[in-house]
Amino acid sequence: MRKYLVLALSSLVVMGCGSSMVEGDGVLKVGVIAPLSGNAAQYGEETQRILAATLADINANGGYKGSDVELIFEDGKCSGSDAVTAFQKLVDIDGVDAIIPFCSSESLAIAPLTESVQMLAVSATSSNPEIEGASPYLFSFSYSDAVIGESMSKELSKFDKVAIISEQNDYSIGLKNTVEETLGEKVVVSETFEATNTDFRNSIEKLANSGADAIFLNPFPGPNATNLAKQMSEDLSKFEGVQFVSQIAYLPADSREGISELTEGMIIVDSPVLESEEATVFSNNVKTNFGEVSALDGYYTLALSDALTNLVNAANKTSDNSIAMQEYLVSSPLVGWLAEGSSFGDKNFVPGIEAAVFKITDGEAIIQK
Amino acid sequence: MGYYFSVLIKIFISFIQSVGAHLSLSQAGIFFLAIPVSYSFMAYSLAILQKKFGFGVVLAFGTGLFLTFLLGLVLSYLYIRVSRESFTVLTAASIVGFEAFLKSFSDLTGGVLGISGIMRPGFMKSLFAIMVVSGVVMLSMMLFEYLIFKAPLGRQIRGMKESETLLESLSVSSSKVAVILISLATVLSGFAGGLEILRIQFLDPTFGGFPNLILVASIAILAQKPRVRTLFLSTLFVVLLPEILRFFNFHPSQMGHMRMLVYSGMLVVLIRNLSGKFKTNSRIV
Amino acid sequence: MSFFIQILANSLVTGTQVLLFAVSLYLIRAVSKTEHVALGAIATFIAYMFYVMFLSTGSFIVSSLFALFWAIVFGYTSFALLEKFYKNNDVLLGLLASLSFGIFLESLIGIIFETDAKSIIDGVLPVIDFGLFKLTTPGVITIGFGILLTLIVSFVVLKTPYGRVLRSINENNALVSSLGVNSAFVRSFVYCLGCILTGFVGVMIGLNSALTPYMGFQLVITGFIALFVGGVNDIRGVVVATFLLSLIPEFLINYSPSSLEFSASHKMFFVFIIAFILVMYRPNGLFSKSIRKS
Repeated sequence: MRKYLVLALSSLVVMGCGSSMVEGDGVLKVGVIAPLSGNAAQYGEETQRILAATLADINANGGYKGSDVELIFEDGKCSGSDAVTAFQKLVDIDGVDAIIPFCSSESLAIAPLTESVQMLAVSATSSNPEIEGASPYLFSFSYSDAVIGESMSKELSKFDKVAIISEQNDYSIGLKNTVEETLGEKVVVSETFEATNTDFRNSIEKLANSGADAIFLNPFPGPNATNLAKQMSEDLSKFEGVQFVSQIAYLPADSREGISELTEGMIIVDSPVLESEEATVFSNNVKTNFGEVSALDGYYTLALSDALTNLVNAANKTSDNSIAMQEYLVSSPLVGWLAEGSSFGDKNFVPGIEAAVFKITDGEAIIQK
Repeated sequence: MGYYFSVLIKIFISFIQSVGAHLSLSQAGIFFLAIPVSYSFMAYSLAILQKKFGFGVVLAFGTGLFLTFLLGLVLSYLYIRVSRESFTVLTAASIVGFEAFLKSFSDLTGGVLGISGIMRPGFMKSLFAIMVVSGVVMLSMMLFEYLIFKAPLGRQIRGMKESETLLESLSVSSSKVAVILISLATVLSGFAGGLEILRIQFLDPTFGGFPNLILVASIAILAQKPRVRTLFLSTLFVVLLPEILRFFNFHPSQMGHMRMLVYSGMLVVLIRNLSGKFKTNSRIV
Repeated sequence: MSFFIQILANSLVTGTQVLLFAVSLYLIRAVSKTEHVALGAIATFIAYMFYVMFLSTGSFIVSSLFALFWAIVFGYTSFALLEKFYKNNDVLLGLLASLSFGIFLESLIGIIFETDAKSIIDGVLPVIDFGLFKLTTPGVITIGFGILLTLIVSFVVLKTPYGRVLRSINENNALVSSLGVNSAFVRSFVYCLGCILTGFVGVMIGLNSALTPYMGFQLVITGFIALFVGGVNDIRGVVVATFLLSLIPEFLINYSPSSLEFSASHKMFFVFIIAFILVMYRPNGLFSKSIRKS
């Protein structure tokens, strides 16, 4: 038992030694709360790569008032309680000046804390509509699920019977709820599957048997989306005459590799793709020099980059004080790929991101409106 | 300071939750694995009563605790009704079953989106206040467990692990002891869940689950001896271990996995070393 | 009708996967009184080893042998890990150690292979058309080999001297040892066999859908539930319980009225409810006889 006591006391000492003071130390530290383990770990890993690439650019261009900006990662596991512990460690021990949370559940969990300790949190990927109004210190460069959901519902309302298959995560369920609320009785089947599931064949059979004219494919972008599409493609004769509609999951070209028969003619609702050579160069740079990015390719790569860029920009324009940075973001023009010139104002989501509708034609995503 | 308060609260809450597990799992040998369910059940009861039914915080907490107690009675009945092994598997299965229920019946539970903005009572607005309250409760539980160990009930609990038949022959109803322990473990775990959710103010289906079972069972099993001090030190060790690993500079992309790897690896080594070290040498006569 | 048959066929594939886990858990419990829940992670690791070798060589045979090698390695590792708990009669500690070992392996897989899903076979799988239903080739192999292996194991356990030895070890290890049976060897053999059976499942899942670090967890939990619902000492009960727990939830989900909105995410909830009902009705196993308490 003496061993336990020594171990416990040593750990307290270590924790005490690890503490660093917070206030205005001239170094800009940004904490990142992302799922680094568990089922969503791939998103955390890709977040690290994208932010590392952005950080390299920022520091190469002077960083924060001539000093390098520092990123400190903590594992939020896409879980509220882990996000809260991570938040407090970042704020009290690491002395960060701002936070970038990843999952909506992480953002919502830390929202009350950001307000109580006046810590700025800017997400790039949290899209749950409940973020709006959750805290004056919480912002998101993602579009709200409500925006995409409304556009999705408009497309699906053209059909008499709609079937939905959704993954159980905060993003897909948010979209599903918006669509179901709008379409009402037109939804004949609404299947949900757990994120850990890899065999969707019974769910697919249920969709095929529903007699739907349109099927809304609503997995989270990444491996589950690919897997779902591959298993649907095993017997496409079941879906003759059915229109497939989806979201960002099937927008990137490499997400449609090997499943072109399924995705040909698919309608996709998502935010507009930025047609910018520099954005493409940046995205390619991330993949080439920092590692594979598939799940967060496209919009989210740019959104993550913008979140960090705007935090650093706000700090450079004011100081490394969280309150000053928050005031700047609320009132001053944003920079970056997605929201150049606009500002958050009294909203928590970045303004001006509207949904775009694409159609997959000859393997290419062609914007319709 | 908020981080330190958070860690202390975690220690206090884990101790409160582990008292029930220590008595049932470790001392009585009752394979009661539904502890995370009662932890999560109380949290959801509190959140739903507050957010969906408009209960005040204190009333929601009290009502939730009462509902959790009823759950404990149901689980106790199950223990009496089915075989020991079936009880083990049902309580283990209840963890996944309950999580599936929480995720799927979203009208009531919020589903994967969870329930946010859970209010704290006026006297627990700050983290410091939560720390004080949970610390007081923990000290009470320490005294409570100490008194149990000194009382006839404590001897009956240890007797249950030794031999139920012998206990029955001494006119002590093993079923009654089991009902007390399971109800107690459920309520204490629920209380801990309620405190934790007041700290986080956000709830989703990942609350509780198998990671919580691992935490609590590790604490209870490492504290094999019927002593409060042992349980407390075991709690300190198990709760602080992953917190310490946060300070090691693992490569960011490996950080989360490395932490789990080291934590679980150390647990395996520790548990293996403990096996066989706590055999009772004396027989109860 | 074809909808029913297709659902049944798909459910038989997943049911057979769970069955092999349940049978492995049964065998290991029979000789060591331990529930080796790390089998889920072990199956996953073996599947990843198959994947690695297949990527390098493109040969199923070589990859299978490589996977078999790892199954045997894990068999002996499991034996080395859990034997101490068996000897000290620390069943609960053994369960906890196994659970921790499983988490350890899953974390290791996450570090080495990362967490994005890996497909052993690229592209869309070909399906075999049986008329009323279609199944992928790995699905057919899973059902075929899975049921065959289960029948063989059941036959050996119930009808052969080896099976009697195995069941005797559970009853009285000292007596069995005194009759000249090397019970430690039997246990190590059974651990290896369990890892081979579950490794087969892991590889089939990887071929039929995709590999993820946590894919074995739900299967081993369902197998664990089936083991106790069916009766820990009765392999027939385990087999029947497995299919009850696999098939009934699927039919509930697929044939429920749409207003109830039951879907695949409800599956584990139904598994629990069914297990609860079966255990209340048959507390000592599906085919148990009534026992008078003395």
